[in-house]
Amino acid sequence: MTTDFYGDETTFGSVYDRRILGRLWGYLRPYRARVFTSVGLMLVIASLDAAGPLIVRYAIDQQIRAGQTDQLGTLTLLFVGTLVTGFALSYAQGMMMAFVGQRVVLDIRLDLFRHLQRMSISFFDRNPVGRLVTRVTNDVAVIEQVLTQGVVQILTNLLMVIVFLGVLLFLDWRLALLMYVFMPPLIWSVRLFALTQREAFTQQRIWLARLNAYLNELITGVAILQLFNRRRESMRRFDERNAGLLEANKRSIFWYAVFEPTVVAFGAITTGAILWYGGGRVVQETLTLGTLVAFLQYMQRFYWPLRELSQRYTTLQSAIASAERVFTVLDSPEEVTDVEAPRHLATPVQGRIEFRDVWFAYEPDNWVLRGVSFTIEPGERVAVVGATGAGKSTMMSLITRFYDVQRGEILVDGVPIRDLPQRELRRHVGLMLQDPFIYTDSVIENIRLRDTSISEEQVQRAATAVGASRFIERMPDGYASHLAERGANLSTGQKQLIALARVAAFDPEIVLVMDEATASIDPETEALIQRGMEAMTERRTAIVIAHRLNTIRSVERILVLHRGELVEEGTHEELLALGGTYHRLYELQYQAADTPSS
Amino acid sequence: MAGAIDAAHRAPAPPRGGGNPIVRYVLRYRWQYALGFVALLAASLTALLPPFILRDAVDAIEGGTTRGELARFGAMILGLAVIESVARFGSRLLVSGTAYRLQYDLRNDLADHLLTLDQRFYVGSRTGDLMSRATQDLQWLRDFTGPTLIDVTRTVVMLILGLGFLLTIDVRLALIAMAYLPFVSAAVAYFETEVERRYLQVTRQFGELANRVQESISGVRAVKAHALEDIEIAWFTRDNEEMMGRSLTLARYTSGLFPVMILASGVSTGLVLWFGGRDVVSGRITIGEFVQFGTYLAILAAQLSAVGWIIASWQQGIVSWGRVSEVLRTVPTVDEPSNPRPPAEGGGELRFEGVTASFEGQDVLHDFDLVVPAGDTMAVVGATGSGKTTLANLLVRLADPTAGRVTIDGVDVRELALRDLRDLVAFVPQESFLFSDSLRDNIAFGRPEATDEELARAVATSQLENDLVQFADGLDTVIGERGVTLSGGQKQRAALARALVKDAPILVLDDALSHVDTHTEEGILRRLRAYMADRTTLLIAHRTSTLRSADEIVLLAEGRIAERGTHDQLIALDGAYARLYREQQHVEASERGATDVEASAVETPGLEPGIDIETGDTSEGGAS
Repeated sequence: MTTDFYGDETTFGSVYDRRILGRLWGYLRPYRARVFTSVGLMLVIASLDAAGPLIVRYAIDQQIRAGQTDQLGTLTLLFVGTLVTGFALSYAQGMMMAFVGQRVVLDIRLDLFRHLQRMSISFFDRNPVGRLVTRVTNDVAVIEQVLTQGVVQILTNLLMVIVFLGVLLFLDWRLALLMYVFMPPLIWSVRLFALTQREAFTQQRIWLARLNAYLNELITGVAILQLFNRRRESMRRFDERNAGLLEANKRSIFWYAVFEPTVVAFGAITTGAILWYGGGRVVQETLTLGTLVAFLQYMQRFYWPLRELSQRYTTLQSAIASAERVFTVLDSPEEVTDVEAPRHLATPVQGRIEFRDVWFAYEPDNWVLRGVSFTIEPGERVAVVGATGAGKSTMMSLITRFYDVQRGEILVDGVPIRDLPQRELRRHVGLMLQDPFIYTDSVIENIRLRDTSISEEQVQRAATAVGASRFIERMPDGYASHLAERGANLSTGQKQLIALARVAAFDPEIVLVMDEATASIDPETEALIQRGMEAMTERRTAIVIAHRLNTIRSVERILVLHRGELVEEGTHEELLALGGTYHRLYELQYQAADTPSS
Repeated sequence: MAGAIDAAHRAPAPPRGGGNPIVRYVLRYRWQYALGFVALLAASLTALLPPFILRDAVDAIEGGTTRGELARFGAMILGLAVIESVARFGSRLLVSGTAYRLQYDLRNDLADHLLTLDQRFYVGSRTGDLMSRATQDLQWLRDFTGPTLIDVTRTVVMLILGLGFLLTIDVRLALIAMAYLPFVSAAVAYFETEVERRYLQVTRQFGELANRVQESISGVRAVKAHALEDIEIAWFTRDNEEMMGRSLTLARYTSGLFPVMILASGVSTGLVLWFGGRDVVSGRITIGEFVQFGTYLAILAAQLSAVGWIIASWQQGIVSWGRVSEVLRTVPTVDEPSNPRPPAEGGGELRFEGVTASFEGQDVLHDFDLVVPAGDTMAVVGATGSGKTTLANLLVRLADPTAGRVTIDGVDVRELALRDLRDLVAFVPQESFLFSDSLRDNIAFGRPEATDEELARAVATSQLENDLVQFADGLDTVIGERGVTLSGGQKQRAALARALVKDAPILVLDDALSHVDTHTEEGILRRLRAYMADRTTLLIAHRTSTLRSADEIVLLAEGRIAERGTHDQLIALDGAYARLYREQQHVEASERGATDVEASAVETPGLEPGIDIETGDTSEGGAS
């Protein structure tokens, strides 16, 4: 992973990046029949478009200038006919590409989402939620826009230019060559413009990313800013970013303002030249007036797509950048994977946990657990104790395989958890999180997590068992009550009760409880949680990170971790009597709470 | 003075200075706009003149002409093009350039304005929404005051002039050629309403989708812990299929608009071929005029084909205009006094006199009285919702009372300049927010000029020293999203250090050590004692071990003082406080480690959904 915060945002992809285009094509491949039909239709549409001036040419030369009107009706009908056909085909083609675009977007989004679901927790530790959400939503939306609109327009415009060039050559090669003379400088200036836009675009995005990140912080921390009288200083910093963005924008506007008139001027030069040379030839009667008029009409249609092309360039560029970022997420490797021939737990699951010389580090060589070994028998209740950073919660995360151990192994009922499918393992190991995530949904869905295989009665039974039912039933709609974003309408204690009910509803054989002290729960709820916890750990294998002395006294065994090593184990009394690390921890922390501060 | 808070103070914000706040910005650049429009008019007019030259040229060719005369026609076209190019360049630079400048001004002022708004505003808003107003809406507004304005003006001018020129050539033919205009208007109107409605449906579904992803990723531990990946995927697939359905319905209309325009204008060209061709033969018009006619129709068609999107961006601009104005018009309820009084010299005596305050429509404090003598430490305890935090908020004016007053050394806090008031109080809030910056900058936040010794002292008092050793760059370690993630306890201690460095006469700790383990907390309190000795301190906490060090303790219940006295007095009283104390004695045990480094990752901090923080330029709505 990059250490640069903007690292992810400064990849602004080159339009010519074949690797990315190749992968995007991979998504289009399943719909290639439609894509090719669509391209074919565009060719027909472009040809129909080219037919208009030819009909006018015929009308001028064969009818009007000859003083005839007998075929004018037919010619008009023919003209309108090409238009109507063109209309029908454009519409069909548009719908076809819209369908392809939507399918592709659906495929990319699902791929991305499925991939995210397979990612291990360490991936989410590294990637902020906001960034991932942006990948799945906005970045994919940008790709879609380009697939459905950009690519079609660009292809149509390119085809039009090619068809026109061909028709002109057929009509009069000398006049056509005269027109071609102006092509290289025009293409060169379009390229130059695209290049300047690309530079500007990169700058714009960098500044915008900085500006937005800073603004987001200002809004989130507004109270602190106000309380520390830092508005002026913060605004100074904000202005730096805002001014940087303005400068980047100005450059882009300048080149844009230059580019547009340049194309206009080229158009005029070409028109003038055609009028001068072609007109002369009409007078000499080596060219018909109709052909000259047709040339002039093609001119108009010719410059329009060229202008469009250059404008689409930036859109295409941002899509490539988005695609690159999406693919980066898709390419992030799965760190915790299922083995090819997984083993399974024998049913009924007993709930025996064994650590065999487990070593683990989040970063290389910074060992959080060092050779931890122990066994917990089915139905046993064990507490894990240790100072901050001793590795307690890491141990819990390892049992659910949020991370894989580097050395040694962990076994459940004698089977190494590495050999079990992750999902099977987690169905039998319930993890109660300290700060559970609350969905913007009803209470019942928050308990069963939208898993409808768990019935409403089961949810209610679980809630009752852990003592959460009382506060839930007091809510206006009981279990159907709606919970606000991130559980804003619940207290910390209530959220923990929901978390307890959640684990109970899934009824695992092994429960892991992360219950560390937070001082912001009022004593009444605190007592409720404690009773619920006891109910939940009954008849199950339980590992508890506890801060309550009661809990620690009630467990059958205490494991004492110290700097990633299992240093002592035994009951509360045994360990106190031992007079070692546990005794010291106990003295230090419990006594501290007991000593009068004055 | 107690009744000084009249109804007007709490009334909804009146618009500042009457008119629309954005108009001021447009007026600021009126000369640039005026000049830009002149250039635009010139460009539009010169763009419509070449067909006249074409007419003359064709007629001249038809009558037999010389190369020299033809060269003159060519040169005239070129000359007009030069004028048009220069005018176009000028108008772009003037109008678009001004729009970007205006966006810059507006963005600065909007950000500055946001920083003056109070908590009442922020409680009712979502960060994601505010961000999208300050980014996407400003972008649409910029287009509205720049490119869109140019396009609209040019289209209108070109249409009117073009039609006028058509009429000067031949009225009958012009009317025939224009016959399609009502049809085009009807088509545009039809498509616009249909598109708008369906676009809204797509946007809404997009919001749903964004929320789904946001929640699914935020709750990834729960999803994984219960092996619910397949269920999540199933829900997400369902949402996406709905999204696809709605998008395709929308496409049915959007795919039609452009081809219909081409068809309509093409048919009119066909009619001109039919009628105009006969007119040339019958001698009503010359062949040059016939060509000129066709050329005008092509120019008008090109203008019309862009109408659809011009209307869309126009509508978008109006909506954004409203959304940005709304924020700018919001007046903070916590406002600067018009004639601020200087702070009194009194050592920081705090008084709450008959204070009533409400939060989200419910009273949290009723007719509340409390005096904290200068230099004392007053501890406040009470259940969730008993009004503790409100007390702290009223003191620093994060909120204002609905009745009664809060004074510091006898001066109503509402009569102090906000700057002075906040210089008087160092505040450690419940939610310890730190900026993605170096630890040093965060701690010196309130007093950037603080010396290294002062910083070191604050770091020592808040027991951050040991943590600093873990960081490679010590105080210069960058924290937050761009750097090291701090645990809850570390954040709280950094926030405490930040308040200490500020060195204000009054210190407010609002449940500020809840994530710090008891042992560390004890150490902090011990070191703080010297600091607090000559300062007035408001200490809000749950733990009796924290509270007992105070000179006096008040226990709040439902917005009133239920018990009051020293620790020993309250124990002797044997009321709620004594009960709380006993329970905590019972419960408080060895493990006080809510500050595990690993545990801090339980919920990954994230941004609000839907806002593309990197680009801010998505056209689809966010997760609103």
